[in-house]
Amino acid sequence: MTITDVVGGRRVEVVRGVADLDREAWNALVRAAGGSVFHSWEWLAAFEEAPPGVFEPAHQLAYDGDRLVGVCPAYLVHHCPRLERIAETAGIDFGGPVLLAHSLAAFAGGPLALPEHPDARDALISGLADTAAALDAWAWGAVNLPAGRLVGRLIGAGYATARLNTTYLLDTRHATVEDYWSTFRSKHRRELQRERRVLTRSGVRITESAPDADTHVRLVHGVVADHGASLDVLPEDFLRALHRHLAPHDRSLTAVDLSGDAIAVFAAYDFGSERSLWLAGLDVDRLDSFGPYRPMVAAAVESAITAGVPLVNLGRGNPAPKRRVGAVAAPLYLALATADRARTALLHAALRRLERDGADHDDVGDGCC
Amino acid sequence: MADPGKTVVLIGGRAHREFEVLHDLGYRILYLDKRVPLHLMAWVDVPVDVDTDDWDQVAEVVRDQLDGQAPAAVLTHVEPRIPLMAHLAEQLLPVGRGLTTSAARNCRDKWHTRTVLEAAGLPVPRFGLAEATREAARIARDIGFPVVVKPRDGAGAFGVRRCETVEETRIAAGHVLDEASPDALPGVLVEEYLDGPEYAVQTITRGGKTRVLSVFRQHMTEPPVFVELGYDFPSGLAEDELRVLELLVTSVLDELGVDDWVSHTQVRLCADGFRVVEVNARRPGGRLVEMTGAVSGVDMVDAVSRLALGLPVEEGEPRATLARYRSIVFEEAGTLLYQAPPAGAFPSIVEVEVPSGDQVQPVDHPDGGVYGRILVFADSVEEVDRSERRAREALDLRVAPSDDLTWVAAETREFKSCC
Repeated sequence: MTITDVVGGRRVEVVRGVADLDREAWNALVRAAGGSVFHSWEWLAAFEEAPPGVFEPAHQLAYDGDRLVGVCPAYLVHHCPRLERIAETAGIDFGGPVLLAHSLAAFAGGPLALPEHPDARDALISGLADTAAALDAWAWGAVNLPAGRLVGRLIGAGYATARLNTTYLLDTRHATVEDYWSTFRSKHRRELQRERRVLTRSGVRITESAPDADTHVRLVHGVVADHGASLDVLPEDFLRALHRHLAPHDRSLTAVDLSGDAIAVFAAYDFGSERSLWLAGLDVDRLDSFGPYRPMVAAAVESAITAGVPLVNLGRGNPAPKRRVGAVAAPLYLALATADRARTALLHAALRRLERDGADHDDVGDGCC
Repeated sequence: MADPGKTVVLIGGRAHREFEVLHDLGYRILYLDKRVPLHLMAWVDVPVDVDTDDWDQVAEVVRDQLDGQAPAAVLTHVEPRIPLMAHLAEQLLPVGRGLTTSAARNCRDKWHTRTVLEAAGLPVPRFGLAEATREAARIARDIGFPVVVKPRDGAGAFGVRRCETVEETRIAAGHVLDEASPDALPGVLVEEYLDGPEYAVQTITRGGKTRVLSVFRQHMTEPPVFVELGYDFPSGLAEDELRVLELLVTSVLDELGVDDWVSHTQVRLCADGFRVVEVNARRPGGRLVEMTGAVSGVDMVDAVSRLALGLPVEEGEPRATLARYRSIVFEEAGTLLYQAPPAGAFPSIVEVEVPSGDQVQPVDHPDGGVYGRILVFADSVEEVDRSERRAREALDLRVAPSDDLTWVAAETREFKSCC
């Protein structure tokens, strides 16, 4: 399906699967537009291979002539446990599939455009609306949009919006790890050193490596189950597909015990200028609390500084230890629209209710990540 | 209920004029509020107590009352009920009319207002939304002091405070977060303090075309609290400044999606030009409707009622070229004593909202603020001065110190601090 001349002469093309995307061109654009691993071809490939629900890809590509100037991954969502929980909290019944850009599992969504082609974002949003009509979607929109101009434009265009959750960002542009820690009070540094010594004395060390897929799934599912959440938000096949596809970008940290067994993991990925700490995992049979959490956060930050990564996305939930290392809250928004007046009123009321009653879901605590 | 097509659903409101207009236009009133006051029973056709925070329940009540048929219009003049009004209108009316749900939210939610206008390149204070006091302090540090802390969807100046330090910001943000009503949107707005004269701009927009009805110079107390002391017309702005202001407000309303409706917008003139402080998708409070009517010939209560009904708006001739509005406020606490003027004693409006003998608090006290107003119209400055002087002499307002008395808040005041 191709839609032409959507906005200002931009050609917007809709692609129904990653097989039809030029991987290198897509990733190059995501990097140039400041995107993270959540917009990468590899993330989309894993999502398509083992989706956590029923999703039809409908990725949008904006061209200036023959040059790719913007992308917007999107799916026609037929079934998504996370979206269904949001609908339940918001008290709305989506009367059909929703075209979403793109995944509630990611920390970022919506269109990306080259800095010199900011209007490509408008074309991509218009493209979403046209695609929603062509696919007979009940509604369309974007999830996990960062606060800023795009959210303002969508609100101004009549989209119903709600602050969905919060991720925590840390500026890691420091020459050395010592420079970074020197910005903290000595009391704070001493506390962290004490926690690290306790961890070391207990025989646990933190390594810059990813566990194998089986261990990765076991540890992540351990935390999900321990929070009383359903595993359907992070099904095993989905985790395995991501583990495999994202391997080139993997910068995970693993805590191992004296016998070398992995007891905790931070699944982290470098892409563009961001390191994204996507998921945490824990051997809940061996540890009744996430003891290594704060030293692992500190280690992740130090690792990023050493590697010259300018920004670390520490992810959603668990704000206290993230704030302690200097991270700041970055709200993420859901924006939805329909072409029908009465549905629009329902959406506005529902998202207002969602923002009032259900904002800031924990990452895995209730599955709404 | 007889003839739903001639019934207007009116949500909240206490001013007699709001009811009178609808009856004069030949409509019956289905009145909804959490608890309908006894004195309104005579002004409405069907009063219904309903939880106005439960929008689905309100819609059901209206459907039940109207046997599932559409009302002629849904209307409110009460700021917190505007999103509900727009929601009901879009749910119940067969065609779109008046304020949309999106525009209602864009004005009601100050974070929305600023986010939309900033994205459109229109001038607003630098701002941030915090969900905790610590975050509020960080935003304030990023913006630079002084800052203003305010509720995200508050009405008027309630909870609004200027803060000079991190500690003041934390305390003010804590108050807003702790005292938020269950229906309030989450978060507290922290924004740059704008220094400069403030103006109130009243408009009517029809078919995408905005007419500025009045621009008033607004007088406020000195920070940290914001209490409106009065308004002047003309505003004192030069012709070219007025043109810039009119263009700005027109663009603002367009970006927020306000059409076929009235508005009351507050703007400050800073060193780098006008910047938008608040946009209210309603008629102004206090007696600014009467002041606007006198200088523009448009009654905003009548106009917005007609817009809700899809009727043509009537425009008359201005009755005055000058207007002055002064809030009745006090410098110190005590017992208020005054002479009640007989009805019709003045050609203009003189009203005190508490009876003589009640206790009053200073203007900057949390329980103080505005206790009434004097509004005079004329065609010369001398005449305005004379009218105001006569009104004050007739009222003979005095405050007897009463430090030994226990403070009891009066419940009769409609507008405590602002419009």
